Amino acid sequence: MDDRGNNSGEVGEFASSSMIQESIDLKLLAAESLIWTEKNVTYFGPLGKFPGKIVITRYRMVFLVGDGGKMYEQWKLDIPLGQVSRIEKVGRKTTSVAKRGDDNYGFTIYCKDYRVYRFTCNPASSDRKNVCDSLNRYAFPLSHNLPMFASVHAAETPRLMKDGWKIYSAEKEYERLGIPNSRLWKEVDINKDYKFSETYPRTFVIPTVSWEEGKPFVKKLGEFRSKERIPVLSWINQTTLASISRCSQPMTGISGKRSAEDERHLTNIMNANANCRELLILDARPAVNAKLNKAKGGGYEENYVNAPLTFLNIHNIHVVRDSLKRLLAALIPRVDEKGYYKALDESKWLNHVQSILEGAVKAVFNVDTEKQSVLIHCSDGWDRTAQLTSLAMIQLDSYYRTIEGFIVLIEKEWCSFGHKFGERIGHGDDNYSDGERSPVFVQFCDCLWQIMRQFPWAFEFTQELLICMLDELYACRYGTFLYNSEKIRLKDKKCDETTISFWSYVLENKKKFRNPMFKHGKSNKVINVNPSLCGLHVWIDYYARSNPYVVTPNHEDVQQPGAQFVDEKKQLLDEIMALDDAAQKLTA
Amino acid sequence: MSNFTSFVDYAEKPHVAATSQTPIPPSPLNEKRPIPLFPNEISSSSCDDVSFSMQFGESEQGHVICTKVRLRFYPAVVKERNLPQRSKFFDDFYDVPLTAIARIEVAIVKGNSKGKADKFQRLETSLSTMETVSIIRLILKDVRVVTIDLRRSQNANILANQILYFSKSGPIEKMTQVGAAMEERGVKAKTAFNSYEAWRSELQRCQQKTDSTSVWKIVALNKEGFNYAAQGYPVYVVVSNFLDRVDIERQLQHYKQGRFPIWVWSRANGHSALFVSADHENNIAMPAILAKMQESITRCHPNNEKPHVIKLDVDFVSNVGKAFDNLLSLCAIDSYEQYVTLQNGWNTKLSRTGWLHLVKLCLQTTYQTIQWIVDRDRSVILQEDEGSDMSIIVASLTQMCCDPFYRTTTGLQQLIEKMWIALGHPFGERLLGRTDDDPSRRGKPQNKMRTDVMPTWLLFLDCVSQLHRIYTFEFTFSPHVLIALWDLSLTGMVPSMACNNLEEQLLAKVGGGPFPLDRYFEKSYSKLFGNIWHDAVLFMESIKKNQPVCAHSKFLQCEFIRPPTSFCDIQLWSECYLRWIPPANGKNSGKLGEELSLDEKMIEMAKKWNSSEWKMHLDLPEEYSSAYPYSIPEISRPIMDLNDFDMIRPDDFDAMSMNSSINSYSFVNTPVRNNTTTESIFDHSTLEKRNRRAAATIGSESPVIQMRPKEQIVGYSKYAFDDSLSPRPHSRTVETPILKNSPSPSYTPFHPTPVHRSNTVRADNRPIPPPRPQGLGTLTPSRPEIRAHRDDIESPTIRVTRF
Repeated sequence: MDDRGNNSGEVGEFASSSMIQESIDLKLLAAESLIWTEKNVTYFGPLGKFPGKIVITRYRMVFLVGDGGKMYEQWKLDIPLGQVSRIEKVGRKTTSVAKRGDDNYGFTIYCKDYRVYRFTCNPASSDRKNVCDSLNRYAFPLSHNLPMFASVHAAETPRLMKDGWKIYSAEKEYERLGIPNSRLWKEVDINKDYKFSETYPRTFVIPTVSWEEGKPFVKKLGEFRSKERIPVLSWINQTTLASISRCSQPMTGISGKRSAEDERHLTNIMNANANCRELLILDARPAVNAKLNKAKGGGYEENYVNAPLTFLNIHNIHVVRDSLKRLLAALIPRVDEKGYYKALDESKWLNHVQSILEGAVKAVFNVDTEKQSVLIHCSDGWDRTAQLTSLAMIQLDSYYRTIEGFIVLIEKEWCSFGHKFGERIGHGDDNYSDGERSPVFVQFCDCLWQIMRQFPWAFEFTQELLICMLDELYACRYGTFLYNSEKIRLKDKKCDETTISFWSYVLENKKKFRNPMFKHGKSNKVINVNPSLCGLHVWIDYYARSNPYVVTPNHEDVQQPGAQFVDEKKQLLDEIMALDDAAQKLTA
Repeated sequence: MSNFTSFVDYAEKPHVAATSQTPIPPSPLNEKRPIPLFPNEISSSSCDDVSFSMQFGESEQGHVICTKVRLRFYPAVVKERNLPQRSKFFDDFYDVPLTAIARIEVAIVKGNSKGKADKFQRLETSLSTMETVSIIRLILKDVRVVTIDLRRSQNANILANQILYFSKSGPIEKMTQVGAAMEERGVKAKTAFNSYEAWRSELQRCQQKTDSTSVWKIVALNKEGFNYAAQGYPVYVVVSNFLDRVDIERQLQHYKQGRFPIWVWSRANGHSALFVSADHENNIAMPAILAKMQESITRCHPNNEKPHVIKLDVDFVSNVGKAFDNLLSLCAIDSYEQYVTLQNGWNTKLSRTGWLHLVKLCLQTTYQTIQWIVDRDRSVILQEDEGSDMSIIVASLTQMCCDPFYRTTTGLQQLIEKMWIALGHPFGERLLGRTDDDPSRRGKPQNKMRTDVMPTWLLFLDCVSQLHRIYTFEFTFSPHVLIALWDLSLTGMVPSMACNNLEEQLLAKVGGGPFPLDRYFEKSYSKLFGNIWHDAVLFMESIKKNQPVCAHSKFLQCEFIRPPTSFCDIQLWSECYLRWIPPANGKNSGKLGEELSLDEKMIEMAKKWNSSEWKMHLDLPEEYSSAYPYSIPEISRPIMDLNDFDMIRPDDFDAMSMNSSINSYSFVNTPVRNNTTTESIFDHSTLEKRNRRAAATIGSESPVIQMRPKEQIVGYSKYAFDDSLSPRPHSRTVETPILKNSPSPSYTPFHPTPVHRSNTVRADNRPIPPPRPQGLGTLTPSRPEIRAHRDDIESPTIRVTRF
């Protein structure tokens, strides 16, 4: 259960003496109105049945365990409606069923992170239709022409001290990378109204030489790249000038079309690094997929001078979606002893994680050790490309391992460069079988968790930040991950004015995510990640939270086994931070 | 012996000469004392001019001898590794304890198969003089792989036969190493729980009465005139006070080997107790005996609760043997090719070994036992076929989970002495293949196993490591203690771990257990035995209370911890099984990196709060592997490797004499501006050389990062099958500038020496690496090396600028 809440108090706290039968004294979020209460509901979990009642609000569904009397325990299940993938009614309301009192009448909630919750109710006295209708309306507001909760919530919330929308600024980040003082790279605003490329940010960085060739040259570049996503700078080592650039696939098509401007542009990127003998192009796709894309007008760079091409064999959104589904089937509701490892191998989830990490390690090696510049792309350059550039930059630049730097990284490589969060997650949409949905960002967090397992000391934040971020990714309480591009998010929907940024919450609750053993100076080195498969593990703390037999501090309360698991490491970190603060006060 | 002594002197000289050639003297950490042989350890055979390599290490030239205890390699040039010396008696890289050998493989030379790769076969019987051995490959029980190339040496057959003969343990009296670390081979050492007082202290520690009103009594099995013996039990055992002499005698008679239920532990804050037992006969008298036994235990419980009997798996021991054999086959690799192949379907292969299922079985049974003892407050009798394997594992784990004392360093020692040594776990048979020849033994005949190892002891250590990973703060020792115990038990040095029971120790006049570990391990290694996390918690508490650290603090101490029961919570103990595989580990990463961070943080806190309680725990080199102190990180290597360049073999001298002379002379006269520059140049050359050698090892282009070999193989395979792709392999371009600068176009290609092939010899079913690209057919690994070296000399100014 998440510990989310305003500064004004903890959500869910209530005084038992003031308990009223008909209204729940939950500390609701701003604009989180009460929609429906349903008593005499039974939750079916892996550990058995739990009678209680359901409370549906504008934002979430809460299940409280109790025997129908006046007293209800602390809430046990808290499911933000944004996490709901679909609601399925089970059983029919017939006279014979009502008489038998079977446990076959109820509904099942399927979540987007593949958790499943099953409830039954009394056919005679319950109003299942209203429950399911309420859930459907507020879990899928866009499908019912309702506003997203993020905007309703923000409208009634007082401004927070820290505005997460102002943490990231493209200009500031490029200044940190030394672009304004560079003669070789230039930040250009050709896309300031998003007319050049709708899915690219307002400003981006290209070689100065390319920019000096004039706007027609840049437009020619756009015509040759899918969605006009031309090669632009992601990161640069200011000492060696080795750089990471990203783009989308070239539109070579079946005829093998070429563009002199595109090839010259790549030469300019290569020449911006004096150490660079050739620009290594990392195509994230399997070679077969890249060839098949030719039939749809895409393709890959063939026979470029000084630009060798390597395929990284990272699979697409459809393969990844099925893979994660299989992995979760192996973990919840129960782990099959005999078939677990076979199911794990057959899901190929860790193989996908491995191929992404290998690609990132390859980029890091070329940039750091070989001092060569690399160009990374996939098909449209907003899924696998974002994964690779982010993971490479985290290994190369210790700033991105701080909390603030991590925020900047996510905002830049994912939000501003057009990862389609809205389509991949299906925010507010009830079409649960949409082929565009895929856990690309979840997979990125998994890869990052693998890196953090190898180098926990190098990160200012812990896995709590990743888990919280993924929960909010689905929950739609904040506007950071809504919609499909910077243009829609900031220009069309004005989320920075109409919603609260998730980063505001992160910065207000920094202690929750901080790793006190992180030292900025000491962690400046590039970290050499080992992507070996035998060193990768399943992220049990995130994927298996709803399996009560798994040992993890992130258990859901209603399914606690006999003994409480104590997260002693978390306690030690908290102790260290508390004593650090106390020492600070002594000094002052 | 005089020749032997002079050989040692000879081995020392190159080391000194090498030292004087390098401008940077090695740090004290790298200075290791030569480990002498045991006083009675005599060399029974030796081979000169051999090539020796340990797992992923490079081949080294030198001299190898075989004694009754070990195989020892004397390198012509001692290689410096930035790792501490662990054992006081065996070197990790040059010594092979013969009792630690799990499999011996040999490649036999056959006249009609010249030019073909030698085929390895399992060596299980002596070789005849007609067979010629070219390569010996040893797979050790600690998952190391040793390769000895004997093609330029004599006496290969004799060496192989000696290894085979002495790797099978004989009588204890003839095992020189047993008790070698102790006075008089430990004959005077006392086994802790073979005495009345030890059991009395244990009862008191468990809050049980020991006076006349106690429900327990300590029985001396060898003094009461019983007609039946309890095999493997200590002299004194604890039983219910409600059993009389006749009852005990009948149980001795009807339980297998007389191992009837005995008390091992009681819950301090409850009423339940824990018993271990062998299985019993099924005859007409048994129901009455069982009823009496159970009633006696019931009367020990204040609430008169009946004990619960848990029957354990009969096939457990043989399953452990099979699973370990599979695990050994999976993890014992020594080449990058094998490593790449290993990664494919890794989890399925791991599952098929069955090892993790056995770990899960033990933890699950322990969980059930804890539920009975803690949740239901009922006594438990763990009943196993012969009561010396799984029952001891489960009983040990149960006590570790329910008694915080057993999670301390002292407690672990006491637990092992009580449950494993005193109760007669047959270490000698399970670990060293020493079968008990007692004709009175009634065990069923052992099946023909591929190995003689059935390490239930390792399974116990593995289970403890699983608990330690999940409940790190609840232990005062680190997992390195577990690894040290495993390695130590394989050497045959510990009397109680080489014998099968106490009686055998008495007969052989040896004694003593594995503790204290300081007797066997160097200080630099035993420093890693403490748990920095647990110490940090105590230190933080002392700061809060403003008082010195209290060793018995209750801070964060859980009385009970629960074993994991879900399969996904059990992981392969990589720190033990993959520690010798550099590509499976990372540089400056893993748990060690985190602990180093914690150490520094605690030092910082100590300064802030003016505390002197914290002392630095870790002393790591600048670059370390996550498998430190067992492996070095992948890329960084000592500067000393430059001396390998001087290893010019006589048969190669004529072809290379002129060029090598020029190189040597030019190099000596190259002006060096400062130490930094010199270090950089040396380091660069070292890296280049290592890259070439690694390329020779895997038959591929120059790998320069730890994952490069795998990447290169996979990448090349892709290119080979995809001709329409025009991109060139990245690494090939790197070679081009060197070739273009070649000042000797007519230079004869240098063929790899046989030495380099030792690491690429094909074993059965091992994959053949992808063929070299067509266009590079004339390239050899050594040629670029020489060119690169000359390039250094020719352009010192440019190189300095680049650095």
